[in-house]
Amino acid sequence: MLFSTILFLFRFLPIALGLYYLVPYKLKNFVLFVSSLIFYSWGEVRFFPVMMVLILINYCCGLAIQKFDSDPKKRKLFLILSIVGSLSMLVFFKYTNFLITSLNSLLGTSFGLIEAAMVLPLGISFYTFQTMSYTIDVYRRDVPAEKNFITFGAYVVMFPQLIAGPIVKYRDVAEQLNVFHKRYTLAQIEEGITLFVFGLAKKVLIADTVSHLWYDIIGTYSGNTVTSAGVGLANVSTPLAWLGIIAYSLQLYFDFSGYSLMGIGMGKMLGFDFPMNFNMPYISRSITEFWRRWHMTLSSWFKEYVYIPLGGNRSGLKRQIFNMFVVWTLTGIWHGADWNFVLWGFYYFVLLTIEKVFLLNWMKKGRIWPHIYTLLLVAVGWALFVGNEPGVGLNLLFQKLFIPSDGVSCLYFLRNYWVILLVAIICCTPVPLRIYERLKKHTVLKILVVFALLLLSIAYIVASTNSPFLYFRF
Amino acid sequence: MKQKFRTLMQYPLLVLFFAFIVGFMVLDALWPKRAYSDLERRQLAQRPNFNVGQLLRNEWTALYESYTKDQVVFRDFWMKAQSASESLLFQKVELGGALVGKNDALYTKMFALTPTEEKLLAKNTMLVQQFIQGFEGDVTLLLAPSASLIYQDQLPAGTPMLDEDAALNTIFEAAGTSHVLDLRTLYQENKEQPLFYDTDHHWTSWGAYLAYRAFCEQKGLTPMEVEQTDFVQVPGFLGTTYSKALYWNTKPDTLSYLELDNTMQVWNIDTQLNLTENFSSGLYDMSQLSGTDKYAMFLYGNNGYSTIQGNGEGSILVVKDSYANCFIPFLCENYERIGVIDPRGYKLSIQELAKQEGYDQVLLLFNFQTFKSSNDLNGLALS
Repeated sequence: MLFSTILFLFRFLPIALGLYYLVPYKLKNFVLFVSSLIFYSWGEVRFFPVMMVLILINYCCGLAIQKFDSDPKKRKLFLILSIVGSLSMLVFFKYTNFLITSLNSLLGTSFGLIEAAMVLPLGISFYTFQTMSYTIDVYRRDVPAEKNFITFGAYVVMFPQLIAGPIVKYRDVAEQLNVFHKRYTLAQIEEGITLFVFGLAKKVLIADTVSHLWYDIIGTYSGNTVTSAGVGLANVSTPLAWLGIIAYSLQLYFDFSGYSLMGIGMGKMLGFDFPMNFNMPYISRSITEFWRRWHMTLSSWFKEYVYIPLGGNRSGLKRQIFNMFVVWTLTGIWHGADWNFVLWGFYYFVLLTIEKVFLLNWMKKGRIWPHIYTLLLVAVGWALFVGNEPGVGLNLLFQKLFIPSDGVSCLYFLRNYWVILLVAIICCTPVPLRIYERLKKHTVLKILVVFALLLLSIAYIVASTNSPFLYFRF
Repeated sequence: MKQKFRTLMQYPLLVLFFAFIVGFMVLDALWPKRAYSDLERRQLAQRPNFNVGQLLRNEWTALYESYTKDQVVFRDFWMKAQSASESLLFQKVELGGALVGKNDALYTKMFALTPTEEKLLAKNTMLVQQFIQGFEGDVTLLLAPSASLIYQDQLPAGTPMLDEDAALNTIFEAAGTSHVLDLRTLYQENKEQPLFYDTDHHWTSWGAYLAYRAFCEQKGLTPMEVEQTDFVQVPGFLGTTYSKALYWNTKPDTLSYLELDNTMQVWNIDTQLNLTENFSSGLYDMSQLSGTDKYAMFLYGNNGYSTIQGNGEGSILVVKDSYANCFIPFLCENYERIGVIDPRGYKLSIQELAKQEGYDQVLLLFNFQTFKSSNDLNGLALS
């Protein structure tokens, strides 16, 4: 189920929240578990068993690791079992067919694709990472194993963050899940409502609206079939290619951060404080800083469970660079099963290494140019990122961006999209938040702002043709 | 309890939000369901019957989602509010797939052809070519240009529209220019006159009349002489382009028609081309004038095969899309018998029917935008 639908906003949400608030505390986790399973199964009923198996494996392994506390071999065995369980699902659904196609083109073989792995279960990249963090933390004795199956299940399949993050570690919410008195406060719920509405507006009013610029260029697709024709990337002028990439960069940010914010907001409504996932990434002054502000829960996951166990920065620069290489290859491939994502990960590995070795110190002196440098490189990164989509083509896109060429001018697109581009750019900066901080002291104004955004978002949801979240595919 | 209520009232946003989503849900569930949206001119999704097979294929949930969206309470209001916000707040000149011209007229957005349309355009061109070569009598191809081609200067600056001029040239060349009635120059010269509706993709009756005069000139016929003032005017027409755009500042068009007392017969036809009469009537379906789809009054919409008794001599078969519906009445002046085929409702051999019914000549009349995306023209090539 998508958040930005009538079905979710005016069927699922009131019923799920109503039940959650009304039932006694003992049953709250049960309500959360069941409603989340319905939420999950709504989109992909067939994957319900996949989810249950995943929960079961990790639940049992967590208990086993704790039970064999004094037997290092058995502890390790169950840890490996649980990680293999989570990873094998991720690999099977996400990478099998990619591996087969790559093998076929490398060796000239012709293995058929596996039908069952054609469709990616919604959010699998996110919730498998969550289950892995659980057993690893139990193994490290950072957190006790969860004894109650319902509680554990509620953690794994919790609907606010299930599909597109933030990636919540078990230890972030373990305590709250076991609070059976005053789990949430009214102030927290109210804050959750505002965050949810802001997230909704980010997604519906900004991301979806600005996305049309990019779709005007590449067209819209259903699978590989063109449903409406764009002007065609091959026909655009270089300025329009750049405008397109800027629009795509804005769409990606507002789409993903909007979804995260809705998740965080609903988390608060349920009494959970999820970690922040985006912190105004486009105001960064270096790539290093950008990755501290973009998809923060993913970066911190890789840091904690890959980078630091590999030795982090404690074993000399060479080893550190190798560790970064591993992390960024994984980050790239996590985003999608295709070579352009591997390339995209490698691109950031190179940039971050250069910054680490010398550039960062030098950049501290700059004021304006570090911003331009960062935005430019991030935009080029998104060009790599979007390069394998239907209607794009990596070679063509880079040719258009870097070899000046004539073609369809950006005049019409600036005319049609200038306000939304401007709004989106302003919303990348701290300005709107600063204004809101001032204004929220006046209750009436606060209510007006929240409801204006909510009502306008509903209008856009009703009028929308389908526009799923971009990060669903990852 | 009182204490609880008082604490709750300290969070008015919270109270209002939950009152809103719960109230919305209840109202939405109770709101009467509609089969059709007059505003958007389309069927609305209905509650899908539950079906395990569909559920497992992820189809049922998708159908249910469209149902909640299509039947949402105050749907028309939300649709108009979104369009107004696009136009007023975000200053956009493209609304729901329509471009808002400088004159506030609405034009269908057409930046390029989809691969499917490219194939269909090539195929339809070939079908027309084959038909012209295969038919023994005289064939004329009239492809009406789009409003956006004639009124290019009214489009937002730099709009990257498809090169319709070039596309028309290709088609006309393939058909052989002697068989073509090309309206572009005529329309350019008369663009001060109301050739197209502002809110609809069709030409106006006056635009069709100018096309008819050009047709007569090409065929050596004496056209019916009428003035704009001879037409009956029906104000308050909001067409299909408006249904997409819902532009807040749209002024409704006036639809016009010429009063004629000719009669029309609409036929049922079986695969052996045996004809049985479906109904007969005048040329216009007056009941449509009170509805939203006023253009559907002409020739009772798009019937597979119908015939009209004219006041002239000889016979003509018109193979057409809805553009022809307001054009055909003028032909009553010049022909004794006018056959009308709409390929959407007639899939059999057009040659065969023309032979059987003894038509002397054929007019193929489409608008470019239908022609590029129609997959119904196979009957042209069947012998």
